[in-house]
Amino acid sequence: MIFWKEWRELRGRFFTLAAFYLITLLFLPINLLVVTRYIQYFVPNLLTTGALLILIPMVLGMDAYVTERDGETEDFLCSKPISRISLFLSKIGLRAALTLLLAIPLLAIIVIKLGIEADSLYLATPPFLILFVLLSIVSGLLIILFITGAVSARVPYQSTALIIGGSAGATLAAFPIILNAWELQYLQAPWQNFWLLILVLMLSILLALFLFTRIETGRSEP
Amino acid sequence: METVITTSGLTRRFGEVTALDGLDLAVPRGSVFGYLGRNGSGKTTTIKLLLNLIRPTSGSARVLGFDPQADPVPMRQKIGYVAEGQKMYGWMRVREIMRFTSGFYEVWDTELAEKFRERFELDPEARIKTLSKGQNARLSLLLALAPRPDLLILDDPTMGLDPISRQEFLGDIVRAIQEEGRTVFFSTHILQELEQVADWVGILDRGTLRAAAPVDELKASVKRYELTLEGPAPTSVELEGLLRLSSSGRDLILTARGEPGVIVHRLREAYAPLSLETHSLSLDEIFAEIVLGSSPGEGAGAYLPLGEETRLPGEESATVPEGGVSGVSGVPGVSGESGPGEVVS
Repeated sequence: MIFWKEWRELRGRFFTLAAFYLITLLFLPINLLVVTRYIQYFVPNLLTTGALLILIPMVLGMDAYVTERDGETEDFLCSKPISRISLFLSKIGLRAALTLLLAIPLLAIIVIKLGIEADSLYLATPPFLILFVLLSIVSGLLIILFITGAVSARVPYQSTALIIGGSAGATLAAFPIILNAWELQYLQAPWQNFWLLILVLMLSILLALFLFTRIETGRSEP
Repeated sequence: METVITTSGLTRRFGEVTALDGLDLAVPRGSVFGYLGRNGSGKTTTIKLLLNLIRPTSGSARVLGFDPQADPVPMRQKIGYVAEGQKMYGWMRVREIMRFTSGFYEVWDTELAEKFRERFELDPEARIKTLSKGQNARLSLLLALAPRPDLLILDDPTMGLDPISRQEFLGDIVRAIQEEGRTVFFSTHILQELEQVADWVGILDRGTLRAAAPVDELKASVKRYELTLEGPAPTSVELEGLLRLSSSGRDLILTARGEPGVIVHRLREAYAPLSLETHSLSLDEIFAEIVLGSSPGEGAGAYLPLGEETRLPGEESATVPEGGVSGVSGVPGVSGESGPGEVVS
């Protein structure tokens, strides 16, 4: 039942995100242009990709707690006979599954298209694409959080979403610019990975900081 | 006496604030234990500690034989909990939250849940966000009762309800208790509620338990004594169980907890009064006496010195001492803006 409840709470965002990416892929070719133009310079290592794969569900899981807290339903849920670790894993597990579910078809679309357009780059594409798609998903999700937060009248939620969404949006917007800068000045393989990792870490730390400030275990008014 | 809740030195601090200070509590099985205190006295903190929603700074607790920190899940299987102003998922329908909540419990009495739903006139298709506060409180009670818990914990469940909804809700609780014979730990800041349903009472003030006893026993033991002396009334009295003291001219008025016969005998021996009257107190008066008698700088049972214009219930004009109960209405002679018997801080 907990999965049902989590899915019900998440499905709106999930479908919105799916729609967002479908539209992006269909009507905004910038994503593919970026990929096809710069792919030869980016082959992120497995560590970066793995870290993102872990990070995304974690961030989404934390978002789930923030949602509980904003809705003031935390006590209701936590007073039920379920351990906190089960709760945590079920929240994260579902989000991880949905993330992958969304990533796989998108990945497939891009890989197929790239296979046609840039046949020689095909072998180098998957790790980068995973990274690119997942980074885009997380940024897109946070932008949606920002929109939903802005629509709702809850000020704390709104301010957090504003900061996170704004950061994510700025990162996304800066992505092509950073790529250009690298191409012109510093395009050497080891540095590319390094800077990409720094970029991801900065974004992650930013998210984690703001989300953790919202999650206080054991907080209570006497 | 078999107990379902026992705490030993249970303490919780939030930074510099001590919300609960060395609580030693024993709640007998089968009792309806009214946990009474003003807002911010530590009632909710106690309950959250018992449910392991927060962790203690020090001390320990046992609930239904379980250590809340070590075994929270099996413990919660046997506890029904209704929080103050319980928030639930607004998007869920009544039938959905019943099904959702049932998934957590090994025991879930579907028939009982349905019976309560009908009695409480809750539309199964109604979304929770559309329910009134009263309906929301009843739905919370339904969800707490359906697992047939051994212990029902209610944390100020009527807070925010209008007087009619409050009465109806209390009636529902009483009926549920009568039908099941379970133990109920019931926190409230509304004295009238407590008198209607509780057979035991614990009085909490600023994180410290001032009294815990059966209601009848407390009423029988806490009395107000009015003495008229031959000479000027003393400014201090040495008397075990003394809660409050006031004097004017030859009149001495004191409230004390203890065997009335023994206290009267001691007062007669000590002061040889011209007259001595003993007055019974209502529970709200007892609450006021105990809380005022333990104002800052005074321990439980200590007296308040004369000359500080402290007052007892029934006095026409007085100044409330610092830390005393301000805004207590329903107590004769005490002004306040809240409803009868309601204590606000």
